[in-house]
Amino acid sequence: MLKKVLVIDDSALIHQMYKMVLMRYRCEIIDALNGQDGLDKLEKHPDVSLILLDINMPVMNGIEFIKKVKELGKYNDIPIIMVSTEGKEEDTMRGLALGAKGYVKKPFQPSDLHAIIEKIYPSK
Amino acid sequence: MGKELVQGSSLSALLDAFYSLDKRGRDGVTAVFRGAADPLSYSVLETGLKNHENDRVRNAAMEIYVALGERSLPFLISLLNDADEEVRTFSGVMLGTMQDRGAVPSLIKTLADPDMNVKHAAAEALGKIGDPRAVEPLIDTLATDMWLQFPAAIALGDIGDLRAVAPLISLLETPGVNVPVIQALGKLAHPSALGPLSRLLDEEEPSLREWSLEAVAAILARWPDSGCDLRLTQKATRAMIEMLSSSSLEARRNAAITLGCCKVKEALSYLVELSTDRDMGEVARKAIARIGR
Repeated sequence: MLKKVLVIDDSALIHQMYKMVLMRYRCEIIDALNGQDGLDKLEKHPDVSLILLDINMPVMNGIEFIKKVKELGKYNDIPIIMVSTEGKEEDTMRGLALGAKGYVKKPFQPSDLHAIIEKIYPSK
Repeated sequence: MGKELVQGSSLSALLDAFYSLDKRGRDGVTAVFRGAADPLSYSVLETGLKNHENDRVRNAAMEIYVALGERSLPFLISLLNDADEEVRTFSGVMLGTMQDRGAVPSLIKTLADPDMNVKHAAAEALGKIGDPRAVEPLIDTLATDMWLQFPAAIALGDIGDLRAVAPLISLLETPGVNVPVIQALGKLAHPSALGPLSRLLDEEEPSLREWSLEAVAAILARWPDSGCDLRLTQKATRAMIEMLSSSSLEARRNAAITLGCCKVKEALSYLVELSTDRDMGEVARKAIARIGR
């Protein structure tokens, strides 16, 4: 069940959009502004059930974040959905090869994200 | 490093090393860019910005563009027309961070960019800059896709121009986009939004209910007497009384303000209980006084 989602994105506006998109799950949302912040938040919230990860961010980007998560090992069970843009196919492939469960491209519609979440956490 | 000695290659190397330096070192790199002539500085920065292979270099370039302030303005405005949509998006993001009103006309034009992410960045930037010239173009943007409605609604709330109130109210019934619309209406705090917002107070969805209450309370905090005209449903009244014991202090305060301004008599006993509370006491006592008036 989707109880707690870690959203890693450097845009405050995108965080608000996720709150709207995730509203139907009534889950707790933890915000992080870059990969490093995401790792810090994971330390505090190891019970996160899903990570939504922007690829392009300052300080630590999405791919570096996935690599760090893999190195640490202890968060390997948390599914990661990458959020990328057109033209970032190479990064997306790298992320998937590193273990990300799926991806959506900006601009996405709520239904795009719901469909991927549904695959990971089927409602029935 | 003397101005005359700075070369493109050394600036590129500094850009490359930017994130391996501490704050003082990064300030030093920025100072070198500041000291170099425009053609050299901005040629290296533009190359850095267009580096799709190394986002650390690109992010370093973006930080320096912003740090150079007004001087970067014509270069970033020009990059809003770059062939690469990612460069256009980043330019919009930087112009929003810089909050320079000189970028407003170009950002308004960018609302018609063919790429959705570029338009999104332009709308967000216009909200950050807060110039009323953007109000009408952003209102037009409200009639488009959710990906643009969202930043446009937020931007209209941030700009704070009352021309946006009616167009925003018309979107309150649209699922999804009503989330930023509720927030924007709370910021605009115009009493004409009270009735339409109060209808969302008995929403099934708790987050939507809480956001609506926040907006209603923001309006009532500015126009407390408007609450007398508000007709709350039994369900909304019950939900607000329940919110008086919410774990969120903000939700408790918003509920108390609204119940007080709407003179909800059945909330009195709950408010009396809160009247000695350290965090809620003052708000509760004011609400009690309003109901008793």
